[in-house]
Amino acid sequence: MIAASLFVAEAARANPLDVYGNGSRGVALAGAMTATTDDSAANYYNPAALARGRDLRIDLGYRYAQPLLSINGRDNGVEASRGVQIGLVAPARIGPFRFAFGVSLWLPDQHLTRVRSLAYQTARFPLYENPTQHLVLQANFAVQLFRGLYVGGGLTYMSRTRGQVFLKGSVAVSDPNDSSLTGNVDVDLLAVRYPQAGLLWEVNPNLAIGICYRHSFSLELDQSFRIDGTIGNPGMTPVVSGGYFAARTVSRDLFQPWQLQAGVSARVTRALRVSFDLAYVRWAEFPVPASRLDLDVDIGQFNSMLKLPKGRSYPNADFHDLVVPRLGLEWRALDRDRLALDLRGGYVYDPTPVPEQIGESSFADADKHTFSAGIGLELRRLGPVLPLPLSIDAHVALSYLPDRSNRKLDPRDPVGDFVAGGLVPQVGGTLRSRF
Amino acid sequence: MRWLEHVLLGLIMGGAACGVASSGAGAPTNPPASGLGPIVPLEDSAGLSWTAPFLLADPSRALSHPSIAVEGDRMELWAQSDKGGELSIVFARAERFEAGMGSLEEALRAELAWEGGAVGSPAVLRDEATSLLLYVAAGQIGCARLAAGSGGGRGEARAAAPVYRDAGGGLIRSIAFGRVGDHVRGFALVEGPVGAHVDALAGSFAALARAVSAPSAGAPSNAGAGVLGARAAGLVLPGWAVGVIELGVRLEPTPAGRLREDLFFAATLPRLGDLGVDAQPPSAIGAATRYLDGALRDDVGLEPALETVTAPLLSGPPSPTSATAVGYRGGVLILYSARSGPRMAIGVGRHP
Repeated sequence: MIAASLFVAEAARANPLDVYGNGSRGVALAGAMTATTDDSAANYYNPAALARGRDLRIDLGYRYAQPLLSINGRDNGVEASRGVQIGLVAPARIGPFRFAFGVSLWLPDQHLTRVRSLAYQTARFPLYENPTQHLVLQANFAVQLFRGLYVGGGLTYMSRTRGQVFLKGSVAVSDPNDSSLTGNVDVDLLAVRYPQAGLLWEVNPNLAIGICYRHSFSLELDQSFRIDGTIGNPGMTPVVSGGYFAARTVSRDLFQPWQLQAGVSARVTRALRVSFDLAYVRWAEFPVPASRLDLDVDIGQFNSMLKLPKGRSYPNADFHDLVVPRLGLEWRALDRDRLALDLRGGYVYDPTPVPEQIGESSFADADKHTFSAGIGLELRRLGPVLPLPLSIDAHVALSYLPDRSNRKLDPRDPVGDFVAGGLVPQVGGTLRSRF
Repeated sequence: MRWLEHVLLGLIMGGAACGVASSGAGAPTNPPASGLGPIVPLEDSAGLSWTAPFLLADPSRALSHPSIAVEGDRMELWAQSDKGGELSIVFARAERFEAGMGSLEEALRAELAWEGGAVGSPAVLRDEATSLLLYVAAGQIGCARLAAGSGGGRGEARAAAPVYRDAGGGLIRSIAFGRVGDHVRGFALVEGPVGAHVDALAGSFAALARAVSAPSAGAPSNAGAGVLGARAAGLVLPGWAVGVIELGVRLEPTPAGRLREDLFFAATLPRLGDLGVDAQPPSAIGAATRYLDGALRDDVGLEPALETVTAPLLSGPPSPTSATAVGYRGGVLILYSARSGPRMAIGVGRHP
């Protein structure tokens, strides 16, 4: 299984939380959560907010998103992203100091992670394919510096692959069955950690300001194959002795740009909360999502007869940085002793970082207008087992990608001009409990 | 906290190990196909009711030089028929190509004296009301109007004289045409005294229609002169091509709204060894292309040059001898002729 994995690679960017959000409330509020979050979703939106609450929180949710994206009017078969979200916030205090640990896990139920390589020229939606098919695990720590001011940070964990296959022995010329080769497989699944950190200031009970930084990371798949040996028939003088063939492919597995997101959350009336976030996303560092293949061979006197292609280099992807605004509204529609009901809505404008594709690559993307809505039901005083409120959240969201034309410079391009766009609906729910 | 990190890493790595064993599900499907690339002959599958890759075959005749018209899923196909040396033009239709083509019907047979007893190399042009069929006869280009309606497809009237003949006295062997608005554009393979060359032709759809409608009685022998104009095509053959056999064309807007002109050419490959007296040299399909941004121009000097694709798009076996393409369901279908048993038949492929 692992050996098979050595010959495939993947090109992907961002992660499922960047693309679809974290937690039902967060998605319903369009991700304008930097100053609003107060549950385990803070592991993603702003780790500083973990220290906001005083209760142990356990959140469990499920989310399903099905991209309906097309190129030239034909569905591109972008796979659904669905999975379970589990989150934990454990607050504590030592004397006057309040602090909290938080862990959040996004666990896809199709692929925990997917590894696949596409030819550089293949038209695809790079921001919706592999990035949404990865497990994401975050662990954070937050502390209250003084009343109303929190700081937090932590790590997100991903894995990277490095593998090698070695074969040694002799290769028979006349009958392959006479070959004698022994093999070794050496594969490392290496951890990759990238940090995130946040700051949250509760100016007063009705106003909070937050800022969060998520660092960039890039995963590489580094895979190689090498065969050393002699070529010739058993018992005879080898045609080639000490020969070898080596292949190495290095692929970008996953890339996330660094992001700086600032937000404000204001309770403008007794029942209405408005949150607004602005994110700067550093897409310009986006690496070319292509596998580089290097081949090397030594077959003695036959070397001159063999010409191996050199590993080619690819032009820069030239993605550009973005500023992404997010707006969320939360209205307390009902507030009774044992029941509260929140209605939520949001909008995010996420312009595409992908330039018009005029060259060899065909990365399909378009500006995204995402409209979201949600409902939050808070059940109170459920008894001695659940003395604290239990929240049930549900959301729907729809991203609209208007058709975008890409006009190639070279009429001989095998892909040619293309138009990309579509819809991305998603639905989900989260159960949030406090203890 | 080291133990916690190990637990977390274990979770991730376990996930990664599981993930790499997953299937290839999720790979992009239906990639766009407005460009030029290798042609993949369609294979037999449950969705096809014909014997792939041949969409149209008749054991009694050789079919070549397809010309196709598409409206939604509906498809009409004209081809040159060689039945024991008798050249004519036949057609068939299909409600959708997976269902296969209906029975062959005769579309055009040589009737006029100037046609010399043989017609071939069909190129169909359509507007909302009129369908015209350009064809080659006696080294010249003729034009017929096709019957309309469900029983259409057959020539019901034709221009009394050729609508085009080579000014240098060369014999036209193959033509391919497309239409955008009133603009008719195409290519002709001309065999002249000093060898074969490809000319670009341009004209007016309305003028061609008028040439057909003109009364045949008393028409001068050069009644069609001026309906089509010629200029050098500027086709540069790739290194693998020895000589052009037949032409095909696609003139369509791209998904991004630009007009694209693709010239397909079947060309012979270099002979390797003795093929025998009767053996046909191997051939392959190549292409040259350009974007025609803005208004169509008749002045060749103002148009972008044809860019030749260096590698063959389709090669044998069996050797393809002609090809044309059409946009279909957001992709591209390529129809080509190739040997099927003792006869030529019409195959179908796609890109990509």
